[in-house]
Amino acid sequence: MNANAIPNVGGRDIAQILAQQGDRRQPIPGFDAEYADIVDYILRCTHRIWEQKDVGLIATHYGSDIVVHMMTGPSFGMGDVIAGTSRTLSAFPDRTLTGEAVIWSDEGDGAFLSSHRITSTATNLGPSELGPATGKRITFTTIADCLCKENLIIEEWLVRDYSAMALQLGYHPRAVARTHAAADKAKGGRTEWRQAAIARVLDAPLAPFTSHAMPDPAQDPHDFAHAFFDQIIGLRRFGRVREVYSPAAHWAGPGGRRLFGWGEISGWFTALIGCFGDARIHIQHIAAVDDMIAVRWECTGTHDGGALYGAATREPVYILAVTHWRIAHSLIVDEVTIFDEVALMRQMEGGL
Amino acid sequence: MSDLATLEIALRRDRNLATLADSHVHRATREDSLGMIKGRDAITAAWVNEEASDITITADLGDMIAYKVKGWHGHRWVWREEGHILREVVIENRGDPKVSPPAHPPLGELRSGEGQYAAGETATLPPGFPEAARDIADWLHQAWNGRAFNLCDRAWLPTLVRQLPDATFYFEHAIVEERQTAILWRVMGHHASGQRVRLIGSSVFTGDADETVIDQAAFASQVERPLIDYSLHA
Repeated sequence: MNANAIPNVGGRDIAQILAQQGDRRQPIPGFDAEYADIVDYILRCTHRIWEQKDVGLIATHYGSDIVVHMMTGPSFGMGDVIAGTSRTLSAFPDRTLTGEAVIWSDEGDGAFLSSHRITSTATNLGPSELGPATGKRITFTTIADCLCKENLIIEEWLVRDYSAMALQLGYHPRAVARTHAAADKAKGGRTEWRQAAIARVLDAPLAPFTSHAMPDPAQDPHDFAHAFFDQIIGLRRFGRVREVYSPAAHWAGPGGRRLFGWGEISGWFTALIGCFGDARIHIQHIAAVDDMIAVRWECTGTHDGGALYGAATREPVYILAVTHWRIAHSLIVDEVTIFDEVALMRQMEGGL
Repeated sequence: MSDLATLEIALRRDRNLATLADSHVHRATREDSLGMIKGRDAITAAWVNEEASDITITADLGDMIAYKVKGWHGHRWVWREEGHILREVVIENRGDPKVSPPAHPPLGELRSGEGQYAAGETATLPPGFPEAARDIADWLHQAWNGRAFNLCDRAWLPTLVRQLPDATFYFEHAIVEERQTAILWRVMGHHASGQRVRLIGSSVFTGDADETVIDQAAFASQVERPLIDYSLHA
């Protein structure tokens, strides 16, 4: 199947995206007849569940034993998904979910991985995990990586820019993190899932030092993604930013940060390692379609520097992140990287 | 007259905001020197706050227009998907005071990897930058980044560099027409307040003359803005 034959969000207005798409454009065995392809499935079921408030539709679109991985820990089972969706809609009843990209891969055996980037605008009319209702209207980005098979999402990795949400709502992200951490500490020691996640990253092999030319992301997105993270984060070769980004690249990241150009973008990677000097990284998944690449990655390190998150706490931390790139002329021209900074600072406060 | 110029008049003079439903895709963005708003609904809401005004289109390069409203100047750049506007960048020097939202502390350096090298004669241009605009970009790079003020006798330039001594100019995009060339650029520099000022600028060149717009109110507000601090000083 030529991925380019599956229309993505680009070039289509919302009315075109949500209109019935007609005949199947892609073999997706076991999916409901109304879905023409995996992109249509993701965009349409998101609209139906969230914007049309058919939350019960989760019963036919999520596996009964689904695991949703987040930086705050995994949730288990369809019931948790329904409850979590209802809680979020209670806090943000008018939440719109604008699909900015659906970067998918065929995982074989009828399964597909969809990395769905969503920008939401919503009014905070009920209490949320960040605090009491504020009445404020905010905009935030979420990326949901969903493993889909036979009309069901059977595993999900969910990253949301909670620090941007907190800042817009008028809450201090660190204060929210401290409150959450205090509750964690009252429950007992560090969670097993986080210890296992950190061990998994530390078990990943270290990249040897090389100076090979970077692969062409347009021709070989998988090799490019591995080389990117090996070189720039793994080997701390921040200057190679100039080989892989356009000099006029735009970068959007957690906390609603927006950066421009080589200097600021290399500054982000420098600051990240400036916070976690022994940071190790592991790529979980890569998907590429059209001019877009999605990379889900995880990172662990010791909070030993104050470049981004206040004075060093010496706490071990775990980050689950998704990066979306748009490629033009074999360079990154747009990047969106999302992870949960509130959960990160919660770990620095002794939580999770 | 281009579609963009027609749209600007329809929105600003005629207040026909419903036309945004046709001109912009639902996920369109608008960026200015103070940030970005996302979504056609947010762009429409921003237009609701505008007063009806007469407008004069002073340059029309298709997907870039320059305009004059009540004595102030504006430039609008757009990028399209299937004919509909996906992204717009707006630079308006309106004079009204602005309030900059809190910003994260700055990251990284301005002249990436350059160290002690001089600016040189050649601008660093993004791929896809029109070759026909290279000579102008190189000339501006020498005048602006190389501080060859004699090449570009404009009062705003030394004024800006005095306030931002390490001001560095970046070239983002250009449109070349038969008689005119428009260049979209950015400037970043550090103010004595300790703030990194980040501005979008736009210039239209017609022969030896140019119209350059920078949002001076955004400059002033960025000097005053609070920085986001992730630490808690309890």
